[in-house]
Amino acid sequence: MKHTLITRALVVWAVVCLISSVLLYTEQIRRQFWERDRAFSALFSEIGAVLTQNESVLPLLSGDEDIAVLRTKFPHLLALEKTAGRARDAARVEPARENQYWLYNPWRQIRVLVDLAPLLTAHPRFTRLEVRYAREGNAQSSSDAFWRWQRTFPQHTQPFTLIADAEPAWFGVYWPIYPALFLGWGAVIAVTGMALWQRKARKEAEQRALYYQHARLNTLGEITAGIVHEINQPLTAVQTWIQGAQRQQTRDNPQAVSQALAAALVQTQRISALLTRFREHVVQEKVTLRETDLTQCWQQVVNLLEHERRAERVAVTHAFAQGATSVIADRLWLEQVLHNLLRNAIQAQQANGQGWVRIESQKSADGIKITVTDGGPGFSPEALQNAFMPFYSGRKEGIGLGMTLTESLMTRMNGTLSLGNSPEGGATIVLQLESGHG
Amino acid sequence: MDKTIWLIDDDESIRESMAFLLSGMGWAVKTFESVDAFTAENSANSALVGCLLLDMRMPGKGGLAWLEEGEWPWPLLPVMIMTGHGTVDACRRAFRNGVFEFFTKPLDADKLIETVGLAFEESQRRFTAWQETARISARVAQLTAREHEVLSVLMEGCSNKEAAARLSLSPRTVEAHRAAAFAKLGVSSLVQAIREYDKLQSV
Repeated sequence: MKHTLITRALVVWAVVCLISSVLLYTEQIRRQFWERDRAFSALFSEIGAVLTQNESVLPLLSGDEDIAVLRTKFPHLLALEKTAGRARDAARVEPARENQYWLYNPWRQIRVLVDLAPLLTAHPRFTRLEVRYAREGNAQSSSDAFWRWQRTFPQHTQPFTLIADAEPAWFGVYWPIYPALFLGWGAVIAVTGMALWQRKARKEAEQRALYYQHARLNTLGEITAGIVHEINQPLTAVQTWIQGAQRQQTRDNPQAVSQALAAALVQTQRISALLTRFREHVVQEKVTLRETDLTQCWQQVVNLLEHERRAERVAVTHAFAQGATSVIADRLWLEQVLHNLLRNAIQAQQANGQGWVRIESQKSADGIKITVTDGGPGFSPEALQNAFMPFYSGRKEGIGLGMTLTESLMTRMNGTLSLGNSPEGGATIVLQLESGHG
Repeated sequence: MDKTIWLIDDDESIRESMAFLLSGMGWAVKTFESVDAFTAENSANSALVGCLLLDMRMPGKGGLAWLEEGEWPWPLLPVMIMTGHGTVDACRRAFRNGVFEFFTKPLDADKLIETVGLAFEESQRRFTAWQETARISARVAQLTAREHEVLSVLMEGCSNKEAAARLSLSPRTVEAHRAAAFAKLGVSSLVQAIREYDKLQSV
């Protein structure tokens, strides 16, 4: 049972870890994309600003300005030259080297050499970054990059397109988060599994206790029915013989009367033999008494009655004195005795809602004295008289064998059991058992 | 006819003691230790009278199970069930099967004796009715088919003439059949004939 639960928890853990790490990894890669995307947008507007500057500054230049002075303001301008005879409708842009180009002003017959390379090299995270002149042929050049951006600048005298490729850093994600995630899930599943397992175990224990109780009652019922049947037959015969004898007596037929009485006697002997046989059946298998731990027995009994205890909201406390926890007893019998006492105490406090049961043990001159007290109504004088009689019960639905059994078990364990009421009104039951050596 | 108490119980002490009690009342008692022993001896004779005291639970076939088997071969015999396990359910089942009385063990002698007396009366009544039916049915059996036909038409309330018309006979022939049928049934009027017939139907 526990094994399958562990296997199941492991499987759940593995599946949850797998799913969540896949999701987390995807998210991290997505973040990389956003970063690149933002970088691309920033670069695009940077270059766009440069292009705008070019467009606005070029008409103002005469061609005589000092390039060094110009460069302090516009560092991307490398040179300023005068041209001659440049047609007015010739292309304004003429690529020079990589990422450099001449920008013409045919009205004033000047040109400037614009260098975009410093801007582009500032972004090493792209695998490829280029500014393409639109007339250089197909703008939609294919590429097998994972991510690709391409945007055309709006300045129409400088028809450029910014193209960027990037590869995700597949192994560049933040790794330490994964073990942490797995451990976290492990902890969550372990805690949940433990809670489930405990609940299941408790439920099973309750069911088992209930089952045993039913089984016991059924057995008791069967035994009783058997006895009733066995005794009823001879009893019927006896009664019939005697009734026959009475009738014969009125007719003055002494011979028939004595015959009937003799026959009735035979039947009473049969009943007596039946009872003897039955008693032999039931009573006294030999038991060996040994050192038994009172604390464990009590814990077991409290566990068995956990359900009833909770249902009636009865608080159970114990105070076992040092050196007074080991007694000479049969473990099962002692548990049976404590079980009966605790169950009676719980049942006696059904009505009052906040009952309590307390067990104490002390070393006394004759052994160990165990006292069980409760907050119930205590024993009535009649109950104190009859509690140990078979078939006497304080409860309507009780059979009246519990205390009888308890007392006879205590006697057979060389112990004693006495009932009383505490001054506060609750029941006080004192058990006396021989002390173990522990 | 001799009334007998037939007693079936598996326990010898019960058989003996009850036989003692009941025979002390001057009744004939026959005891059997099982249902099979009883049927083996009496299955041929369906006209047993008296009463049957039957234990409900026995090794082999129990009394109640036996009653529930179906056709009861001894219609003149009231059955009394005795049991040590008298549950309401068993009682209900017993009475559904036409049991005369239901006793729980130990038995009360006064009540038992009183009930046996009542059962004997019941058996006597059933016996008389049975004899009467037997007598009438023997007579009815003597009628020819034609006489039977004529008689049933007359008993529906038709006059001789109407009966003759219905059966396509002459009124004289009808009268002759009628006279013959009355003679065979031993009655002198149609009313008497109808009463005899009713007895036959009622059983």
